[in-house]
Amino acid sequence: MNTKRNLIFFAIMLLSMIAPAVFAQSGNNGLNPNLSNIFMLSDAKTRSLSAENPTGEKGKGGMATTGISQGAARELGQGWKVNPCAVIKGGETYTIADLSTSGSIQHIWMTPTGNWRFLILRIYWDDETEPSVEVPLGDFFCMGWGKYAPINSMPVTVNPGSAFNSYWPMPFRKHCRMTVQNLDKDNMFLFYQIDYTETEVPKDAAYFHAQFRRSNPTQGSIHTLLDNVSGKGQYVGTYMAVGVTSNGWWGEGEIKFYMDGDTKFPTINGTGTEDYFLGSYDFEDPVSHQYDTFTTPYSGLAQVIKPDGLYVTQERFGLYRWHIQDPIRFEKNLKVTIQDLGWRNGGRYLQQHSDISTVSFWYQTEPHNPFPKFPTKDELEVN
Amino acid sequence: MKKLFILALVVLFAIAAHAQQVQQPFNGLGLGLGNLPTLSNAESRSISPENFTGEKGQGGAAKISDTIYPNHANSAGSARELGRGWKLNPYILIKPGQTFTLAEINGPGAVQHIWMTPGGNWRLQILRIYWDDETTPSVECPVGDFFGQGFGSYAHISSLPMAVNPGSGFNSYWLMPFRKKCRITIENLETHDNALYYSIDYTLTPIPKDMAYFHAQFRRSNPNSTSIHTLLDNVKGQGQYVGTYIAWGINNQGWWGEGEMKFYIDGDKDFPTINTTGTEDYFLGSYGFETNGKPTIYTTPFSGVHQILEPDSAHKYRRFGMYRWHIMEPIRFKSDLKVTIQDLGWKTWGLYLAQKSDIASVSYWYQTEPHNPFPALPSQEQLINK
Repeated sequence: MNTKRNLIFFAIMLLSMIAPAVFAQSGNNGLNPNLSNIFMLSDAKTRSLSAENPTGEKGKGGMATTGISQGAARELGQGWKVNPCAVIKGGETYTIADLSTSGSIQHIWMTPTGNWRFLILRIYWDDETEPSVEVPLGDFFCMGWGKYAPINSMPVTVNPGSAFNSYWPMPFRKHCRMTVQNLDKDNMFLFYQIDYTETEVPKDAAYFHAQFRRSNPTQGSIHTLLDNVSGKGQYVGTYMAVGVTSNGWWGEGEIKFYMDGDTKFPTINGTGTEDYFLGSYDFEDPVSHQYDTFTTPYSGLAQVIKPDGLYVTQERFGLYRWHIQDPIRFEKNLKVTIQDLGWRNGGRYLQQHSDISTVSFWYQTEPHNPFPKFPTKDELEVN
Repeated sequence: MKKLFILALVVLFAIAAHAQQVQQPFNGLGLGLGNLPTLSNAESRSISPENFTGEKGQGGAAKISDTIYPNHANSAGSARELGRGWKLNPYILIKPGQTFTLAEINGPGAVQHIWMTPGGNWRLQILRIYWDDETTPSVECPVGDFFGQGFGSYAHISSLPMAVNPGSGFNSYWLMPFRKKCRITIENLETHDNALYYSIDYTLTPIPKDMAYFHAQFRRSNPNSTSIHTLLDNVKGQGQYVGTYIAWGINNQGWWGEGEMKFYIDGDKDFPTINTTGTEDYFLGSYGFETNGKPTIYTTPFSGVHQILEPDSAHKYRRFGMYRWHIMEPIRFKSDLKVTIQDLGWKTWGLYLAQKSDIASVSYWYQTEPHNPFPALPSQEQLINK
């Protein structure tokens, strides 16, 4: 009797040792692909959404018989690019992704026509009612001024003529809904491709968030990028579109990360705007005395729009900084601000009144606090 | 019954131990785009002149009255009307001969990113890093060379572990784990004050046992009288070589980059284990880096010739700044390592020329501590002479 019991216990013990090992080796969920592990097999399924396959369903790509290009394909027929893009009517909110599964968005490519500020990208995770991403399409891809500038970074690339790419991984457990709202009057065309994987998402994966804010002009020379963020997570990136309204060097302002109950002073405090974007000394080329644009894997001054002597009267800048190797982790809450600071005579700092738009990118546990009320069309407009 | 009880305990223990192993929280290291969504208990901190200790909730807390302390409110004059919180101390001034401690961090943790923009002559500002309680530095290098700017003038770099951006923003993303302590200093060898803006982004988290320490060593052969430049020797320990920067000043006509890079690993004597085929080959270019009859500048994630300086009044021939990172193919060694490069060009009649170039190099590697002490840093004269 005793032997039998012992045997049972030994069996249980053995199982308890093997089970976690088996579980741990149950493999590659396919969520962290990189050059070092790209050869690994995975049971993750690869799918892709586009106008040619709006549900992403297996074996259903390029099946359309009617669509925007049916005229061009009238001799070739089904399978010959009959419906390559979505037409979003004025005022319409168009759903580009509606996925009931567990998985992750791995890559988004799109090229929107129209005014990129008037097209609003929203993403809802699982069954939330408040979006986790609510950003004008242009700004989401660092094109806040509505003009193309190439970006060659790790999570975002923007390629000729106006091809927007995001590689931010966006895991979800139950559902992913992605919409584009057209605030303009006219129809717009959206070519898009959303590459995703269906797989199990581990417990410690947080949700992707992106929030747009505009201060035009800044109040008290402080622009708030984010506040009232509650949850645990990490801040991973900033896009900033700055329109200056005074002469002189405009980038003295310091970025400040208030985390986990910081009140008067932040934990992380920058030393200047160009420093935060990983340049220095006004981004100035010492020979030409012009701004020297750059785009690297982690940061860039990707865009400088100069006055043209006639109707382009304002100088404008587009900057990004990604915290891929140096994410800013918070346990409970986060607030991010940047000062709007230049120079006045007598070596004194000048409190500026710039036009600053930002997109903050971060991951956090849900539920997130609702975002501030989204700006109106007139408040969004670049003019 | 007692037996049974013990058995039950063993089983429970086994379950608990394995559960822990499986559910071990992410330590926040080894980051890439793919694991960016993963939560971690690692804490993010940053040290700069606006927060010398990196302490939580203490960023930008300098007061106007702090001007009585050196380097505590250097911009108090500019902020005199705005007051506290308005950029009172974004930089430090380092006095002639002074060694300034940029950061002193109690671990365990890892430096994830360094940004700085030094003034003055970048060859005469010496960066040193000490891990745990070591007395000889694991990094000892002029700050310019550390960031691939050995000639003292700006050249853009867009690579994975390093970025150098306009006007002169130096960035390192080499991961630098430490267990007890991290001390980073900079020494100003010049005869005047130099300004330094900097920030050091780091994380506080447990460091796994098998993580090695970051090292970087500077060497200069000027002129290279033996035509063999030694980048590293007498390295003892287990580790991996991960990168090279070379500032190469030529002292003769013609193509100068025939020399082969040689990695002597774990007891290699007469011949190395890894022997490359030419200098431009090692830096992942080819055929004299030439397009349309001229050498070409490039900067990519893993290698580059990011700087080519044309002859000037002080230099009769071109000078080249080049880097090669071994990210996907680190050169691992178990016990020791020596690295050399030949300084080889062309005579007439198809004969190799043993050159006498001006070669300055920085080697980047990870290894177990203790490391062998580095050779003495070149004198000030040897650092800057043409």
